[in-house]
Amino acid sequence: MKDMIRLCVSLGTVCLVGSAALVWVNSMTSQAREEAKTAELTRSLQMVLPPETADTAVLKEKSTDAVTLFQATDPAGKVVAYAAEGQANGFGGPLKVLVGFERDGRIRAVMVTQHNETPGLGSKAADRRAQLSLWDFLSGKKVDTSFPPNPFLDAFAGQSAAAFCQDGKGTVDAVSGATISSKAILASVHEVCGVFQASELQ
Amino acid sequence: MSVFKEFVKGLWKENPVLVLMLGMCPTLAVSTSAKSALGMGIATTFVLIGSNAVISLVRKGIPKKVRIPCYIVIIAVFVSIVEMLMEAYAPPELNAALGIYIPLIVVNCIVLGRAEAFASHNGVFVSMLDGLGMGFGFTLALMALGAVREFIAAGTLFEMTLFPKWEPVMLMKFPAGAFIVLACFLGVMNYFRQRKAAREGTVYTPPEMDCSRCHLCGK
Repeated sequence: MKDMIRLCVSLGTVCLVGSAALVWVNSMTSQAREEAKTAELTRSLQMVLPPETADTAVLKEKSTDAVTLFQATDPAGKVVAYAAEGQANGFGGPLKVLVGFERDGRIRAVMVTQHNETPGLGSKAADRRAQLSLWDFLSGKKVDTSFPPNPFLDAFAGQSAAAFCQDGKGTVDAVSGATISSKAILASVHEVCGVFQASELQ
Repeated sequence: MSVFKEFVKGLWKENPVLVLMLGMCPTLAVSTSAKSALGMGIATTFVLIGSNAVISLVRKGIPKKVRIPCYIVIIAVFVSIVEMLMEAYAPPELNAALGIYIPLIVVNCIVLGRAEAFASHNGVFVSMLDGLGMGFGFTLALMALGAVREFIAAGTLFEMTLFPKWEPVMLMKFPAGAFIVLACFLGVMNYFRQRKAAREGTVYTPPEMDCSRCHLCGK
């Protein structure tokens, strides 16, 4: 009996001290973690929005459960563009698609902010990854990595959101070897365009 | 000198991945690129040093019967701390690449193995050195695997192109590729060890695999 109490007390003490340590670290880092999350979204938004964007705001009442709408304003407070983030189920689980819209309702840029597709196959449709050459790096050559191209995602740019979401007619060529990923991204863009259209922003 | 030995043994003689064959799950999963291998290695090293130090500190106060649950709790605390710190301060792409593997450090055999085999009956300072050495050994092995796999798979190193016209070898991005590269590493290492042992007139047996631990042939 005495032995049992000793065991319980020592394990209990370890757990208690451990929890206290976690609570302390959690409270210390919660702000920085929150900031890191917002910073990531801001960085993605900057990529799909025009350069004159100074501030972005979430349009809560126009967003749906699946699609979040953003409004971009320039320094003077004038609305310059919109963006919307939707999601779909890809080959390797959920992926998030961010679409930037011009004021006249054309798609400005599409990018996948989060995905878990097969490297080398599905990721070809989803990744906008800058490839820096080691020789460039060593010779100090500057390579613009702000918005790397992706032929599949770039094919969406310039299309009209209204025409694109109508009866799910709008389409782009899928990437070979990445059929499911391409379809998931396409479906997500359709959904996002539909919500953007229904919000009657432009 | 002997203190230094505790640090060095993890690098080569008792390398956790290449000799002790511990922690295979993160090894296969994370060594797809040199960069994520480095990140995972540093995270594991931090957990190893922390858990080794604390376990060595409290080793006399913990009854033998509940030592494993206590170790797991201590290790889990350190892993959670690492996870929160990485979410807050690590580069976002590294965090995204390692996110799902960080919680797995809790059950990484290397961490629990060092706690049980070393920290539970050695002093704090030596245990920390052991953790540092083991962590470095893990990082080095992971990075070597990651660099070879990344190079064969994509012709890049640390995400920088070496050869622009490299024909990608997809196999290397999957666990099967990790097994192949790991087997080549082990083959080369064992070859040199056996040659060294033969020169000294002995037979090389990997640690923990000699006759005293195996009862198959009844010798």
